[in-house]
Amino acid sequence: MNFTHEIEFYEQRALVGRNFYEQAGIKRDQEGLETLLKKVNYAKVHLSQMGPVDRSKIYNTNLVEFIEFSNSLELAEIILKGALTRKESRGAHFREDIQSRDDKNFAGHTIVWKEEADLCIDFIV
Amino acid sequence: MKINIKRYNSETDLQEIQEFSLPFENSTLLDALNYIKIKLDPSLSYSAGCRSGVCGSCGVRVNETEELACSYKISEGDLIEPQNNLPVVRDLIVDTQKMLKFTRIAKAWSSENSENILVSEQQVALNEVQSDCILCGSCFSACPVYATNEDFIGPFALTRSWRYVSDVRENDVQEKIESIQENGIWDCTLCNECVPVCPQGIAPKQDIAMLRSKAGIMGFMDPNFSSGMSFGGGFLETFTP
Repeated sequence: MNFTHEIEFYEQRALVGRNFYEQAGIKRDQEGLETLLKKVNYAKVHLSQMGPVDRSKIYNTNLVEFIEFSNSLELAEIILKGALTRKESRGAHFREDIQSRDDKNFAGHTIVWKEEADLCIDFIV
Repeated sequence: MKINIKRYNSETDLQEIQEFSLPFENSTLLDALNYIKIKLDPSLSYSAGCRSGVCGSCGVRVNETEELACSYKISEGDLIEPQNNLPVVRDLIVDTQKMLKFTRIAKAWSSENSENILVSEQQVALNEVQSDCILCGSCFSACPVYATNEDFIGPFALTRSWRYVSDVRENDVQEKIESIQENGIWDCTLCNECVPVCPQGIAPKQDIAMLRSKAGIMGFMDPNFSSGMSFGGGFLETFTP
């Protein structure tokens, strides 16, 4: 992939970080998580326009931070889709819109895998 | 506020001092570096980790004194440089392999533990401070001996050596003391430059002095004295018997 520098990824990184703190912290709800997922998807779609400025091959921390940001977007999507699909409240995952615990459907680990580009989510109960 | 940073690029071998204007005061040097990287020049390269003086990754020199970027508060006109005595990779990043190599030469590790030994609180205190080393390299950078002796084992590895030599559980002290005779404890000038720069309050000079007395007790001698009080090419050579 060819990376251009039209959008500054440091700004996107700060934005996603701040929004995650506010909307995907201990207290979250469907609306907030969905808004956040849109922002993460925006960053993922536009990643090729957020390439690093520094093109050096020696100790390029600008490139390393860009790769880290790109990986953090993958994880961000997994966290958000996991939180959206887990329609219950449990421990540090507190859904303000669904405050009760649901052992029948969710008393177990979240399993995430990829089919083509789509994330699939299931729970081992 | 303006600060100056020494830039270096090993690809082009270009070296220059660059001035950066910051729209704030009262910040740590690391916050200033982060601001420059994010807003002004993403090619500025430096190492950092924990942001709170624990990991020792962000050692640099400010106005010719070793500091941790995350603990130092910037002032107008500060000059930021990479650490001394190590090859510069890029900008403020140095290659620490050379420094770590000396811990291998000094065998500064736990080699053979005594069995069934009870360690008292006082015995733990013997090397508690030395155990707090965060490997930032400030002492190594401050040491002036490297100007004349590239092979000097140095304050970093010697403090580490004393940490294990003074450990009551360590059985093989002899081997460690032997390996720091050449280019080691006797080559230190006891100038004290390494002491005030340590962010952890370790005094390598003092540890080197302790290693000297330990070596003396074990029968080792300062080679400068044994070769006729010459102090290493000094002024009493005519008195050599």
